Amino acid sequence: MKNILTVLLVGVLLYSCNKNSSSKKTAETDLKTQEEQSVEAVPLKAENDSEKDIKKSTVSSVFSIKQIVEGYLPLKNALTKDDSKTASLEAKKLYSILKKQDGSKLNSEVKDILESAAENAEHIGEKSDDIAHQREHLLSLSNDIADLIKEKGTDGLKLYQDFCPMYNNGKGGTWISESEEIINPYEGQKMINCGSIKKVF
Amino acid sequence: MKNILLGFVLIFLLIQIIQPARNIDYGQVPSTDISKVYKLPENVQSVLTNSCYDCHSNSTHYPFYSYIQPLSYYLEKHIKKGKEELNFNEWGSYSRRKQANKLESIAHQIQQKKMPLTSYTYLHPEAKLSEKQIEEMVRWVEQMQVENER
Repeated sequence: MKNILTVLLVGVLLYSCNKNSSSKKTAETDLKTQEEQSVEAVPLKAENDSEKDIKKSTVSSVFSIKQIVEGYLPLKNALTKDDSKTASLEAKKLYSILKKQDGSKLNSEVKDILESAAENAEHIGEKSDDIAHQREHLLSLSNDIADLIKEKGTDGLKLYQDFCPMYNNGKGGTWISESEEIINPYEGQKMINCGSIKKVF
Repeated sequence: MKNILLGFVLIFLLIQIIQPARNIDYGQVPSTDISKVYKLPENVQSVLTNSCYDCHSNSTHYPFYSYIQPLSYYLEKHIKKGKEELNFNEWGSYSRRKQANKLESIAHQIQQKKMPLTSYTYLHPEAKLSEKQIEEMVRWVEQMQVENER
């Protein structure tokens, strides 16, 4: 009898847990659709700053390296400050920028890069409580951005590709920066200046 | 008290009616499966099959309790998320870039013991990876990365 009771109780508990998380999810998707709507050039109302930002940076639906890089840089900068919350927020913005790019005129290589970058941005956005995981995806995302620049140029932006030999168990990692000064997004404050310029775009 | 209990029993019985579609693929191994893309060493194949495929493929081995609601609902959600993230049955349809990303993530997740999930290994102790298996998997990924770069 006691056993049956426990099973029931666990069951009810689990069920209510699921319900909660699923309603949270619908709330999230609601928010997403809201963002998308506001992006789709129907500027009804911008309730907060982040929504405004998203709109501003993704008004046009053509392909723009500039938009993408300008979405990437604040995300990278948040991680140089060990700020996983801001990184998550910026990653969500970058995700919507990437999803708004017009892929119709792009070759399959560039499409693959965009898809990969979007997936990386999505992960960074979701993991606001796990900065190590965010950085793993920043590494992959930075490679995507570098490859994108190789394919499509920098759209007039002055950019640097920096390299830190220590990251990723000594395999090293690169990132894209807007400044000549080395500010490392991977190792945190303790090694903030570790690295060197690998390439100037 | 008795009524409340009866109510719980009733709810429990009622939710049993809801049975989600099962993640079972009765066919053969699909041509896009990772084992068709790479020549997998036996130890790697067995780790994938025993510890990963329940959530990262189109074919789950369901334990008996998975037929009991609300557990089955909970499991099905897990599996859906897992497959979205990584589906070994669809490896061949991934772009080279995505494959490279996934390989890297597999190594990281296993090495940091984030995968397989503890909630999964709690109920499937046999799926838990030994230190040796972890090392073998990481080494295999590194090998694949070198091969892919060529």
